[in-house]
Amino acid sequence: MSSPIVLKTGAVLTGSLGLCEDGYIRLDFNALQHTELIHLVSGLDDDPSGGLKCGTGVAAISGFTEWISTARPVVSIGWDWVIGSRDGRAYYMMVGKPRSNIMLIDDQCRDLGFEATADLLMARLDRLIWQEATNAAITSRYA
Amino acid sequence: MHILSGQSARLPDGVANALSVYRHKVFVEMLGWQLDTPPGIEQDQFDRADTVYIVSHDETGQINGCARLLPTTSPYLLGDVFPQLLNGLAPPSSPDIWELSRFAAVDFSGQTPVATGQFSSPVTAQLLHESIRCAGRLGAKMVITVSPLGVERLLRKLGYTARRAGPPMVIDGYPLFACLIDVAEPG
Repeated sequence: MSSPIVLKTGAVLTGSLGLCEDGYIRLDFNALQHTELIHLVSGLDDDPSGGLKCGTGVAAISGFTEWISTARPVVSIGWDWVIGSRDGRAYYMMVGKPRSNIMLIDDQCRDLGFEATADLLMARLDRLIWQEATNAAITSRYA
Repeated sequence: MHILSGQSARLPDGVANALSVYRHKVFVEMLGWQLDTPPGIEQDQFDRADTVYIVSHDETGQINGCARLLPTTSPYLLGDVFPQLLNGLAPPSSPDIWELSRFAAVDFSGQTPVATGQFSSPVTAQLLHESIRCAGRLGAKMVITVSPLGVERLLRKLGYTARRAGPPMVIDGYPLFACLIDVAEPG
């Protein structure tokens, strides 16, 4: 495994091996659960169909959102979303798996791997109330 | 579509000059990049003797795509201009990592559909494939790029193993990030 480097400035992620030479931040799931995330940027996807066409229904509204940690080294997680409907209201739903600079490790400090990390990130994001911040960013950016 | 690659001295006569003109049309005129360039020509400090170019031509011989590869053991765009995208890590300097930059696949002749996203058309996908294969022939195990945010998921959709080398940052209004791509045939 690559040698860890821990940045000296700012609060350091607890339970983290730090930022490694391969660019990954290695931490265990417990540390991830306690990592505070804030909204960085959100945006809409380009519409490859060319937008609304008369009589063919409404094109799905989709986009991406990016979040980062308040602690250093900076954890970065991004994912895609689509606007669906829940209880008759518009609702942002995650699509696919998240993308990040994180590699989760087990209690033996072994990498869990790309896919397992993404799956566990989804579990973390289930606890994050991200829809409101994303909607506010989209509304502000495109209004 | 015909794709060739090489250092500028090894490109066929006229291709290097035509490439500079094409890059100006794409990056300065079409995308509006604020670059300090002579009129009609786009070159920067990373266009050197050891820079490797990938150039694609349509059936009439017009350039319809380009890319540039730089060794990270010499000055390169991410290391010199955008090191802040690396989360505090020193920019990589390794014969195993080459930088891909000035990637574009715009057809000004109008013979093929204009790409709706950076890698979303078959032409751009083929150019990307050849660029990464070229990097592999040069010894690269990974390619690093400074890219707009959407590139990571597009690369994954194309079957590449791509990930962020650091958190994205909004630079001059554009969310950018450093992207690492495995040099392997896409899955």
